[in-house]
Amino acid sequence: MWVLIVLGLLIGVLAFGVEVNGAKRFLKLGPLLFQPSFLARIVLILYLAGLLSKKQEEIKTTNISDLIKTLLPFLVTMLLMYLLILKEKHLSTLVISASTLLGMFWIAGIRKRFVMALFAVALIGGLIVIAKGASYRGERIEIYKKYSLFTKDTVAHVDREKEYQTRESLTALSSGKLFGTGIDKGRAKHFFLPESRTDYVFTIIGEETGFAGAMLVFGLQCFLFWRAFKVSLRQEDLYLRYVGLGLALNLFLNVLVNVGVAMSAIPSTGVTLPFISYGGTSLLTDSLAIGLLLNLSAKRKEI
Amino acid sequence: MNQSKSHSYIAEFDRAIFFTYMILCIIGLGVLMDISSVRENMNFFYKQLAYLVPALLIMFSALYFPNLQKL
Repeated sequence: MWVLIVLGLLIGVLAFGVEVNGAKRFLKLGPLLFQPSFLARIVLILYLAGLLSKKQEEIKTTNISDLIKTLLPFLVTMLLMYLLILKEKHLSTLVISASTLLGMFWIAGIRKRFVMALFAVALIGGLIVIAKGASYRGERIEIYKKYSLFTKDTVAHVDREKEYQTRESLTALSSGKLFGTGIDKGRAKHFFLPESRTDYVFTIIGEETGFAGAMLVFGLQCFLFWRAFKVSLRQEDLYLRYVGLGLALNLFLNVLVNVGVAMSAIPSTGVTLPFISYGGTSLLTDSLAIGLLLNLSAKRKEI
Repeated sequence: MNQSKSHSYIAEFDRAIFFTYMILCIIGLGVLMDISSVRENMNFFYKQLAYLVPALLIMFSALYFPNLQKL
């Protein structure tokens, strides 16, 4: 039922969606804006957890066609949702979701070579989307090459206006030094970083509270992931275990992508920092994930 | 014949997850207040504050959901 609701909402975005910053991802519900693609990520985790726990023996097959047959209903649903999300130009949510699901396949005990094959298919699909898709994705890769934390391509020619956010983010982070410029004394939020409240919120934290403050926030997110992982592994019921691991992985990948973008460790993309960035839908769906994880951790007593 | 139905209630949950979540939400509000203040428009801060109410309701509903296997 949840799958049908989410599919309906994703189709609703294409038909009646509201455009924000050039992307049609939102549904307007009265005064509020809602992004169904965030809900799709959670629903896919629940769906896959159900399937993996019910077909525990079948998924350990050594025959790829048997595996595809077992996973077919899920793969079709997933592809349908991903196509709709791609239409919304929301590649980042798709990458996080696909990585989470691959992680779940791995944990569930599907043969490693099949998981690697699925990873290769996802990677090729992603590269085709970047190559054939909107031109801004290619530009972001070029910007990444120039400012990357790992490899600096000093001859890459990028329009100065387009590399603006990445450059400002790195400038702000480096000016934060160990203890920051001080709360309310940062420069980046004064219109230097237009997306400072969403995609680059970690930059503001790093600038004003320095490496120490940024590490505190990152540490809290890591601690949350570790606790959620521990709670999930304690579950004897396979469905609950996979749900917990999927939700924990999904939240943590969001953190890694957001922090990675702020530090230019990965190409620029619009992902929120869970519980911190501005964004109603991400706060609602991330809170739902925390509620479900707390439910898993709960000890019940009979009355 | 009266049949007494047994009910279960949540006696304990992982407080570390709960408090970390709450701390991160409060840090988020603080950062948004800080960012919004320079733009002379506190709208984003108030909107986030408003979203926190349904977010907490959703979180508690999920926490007290009686049977996750039914999801």
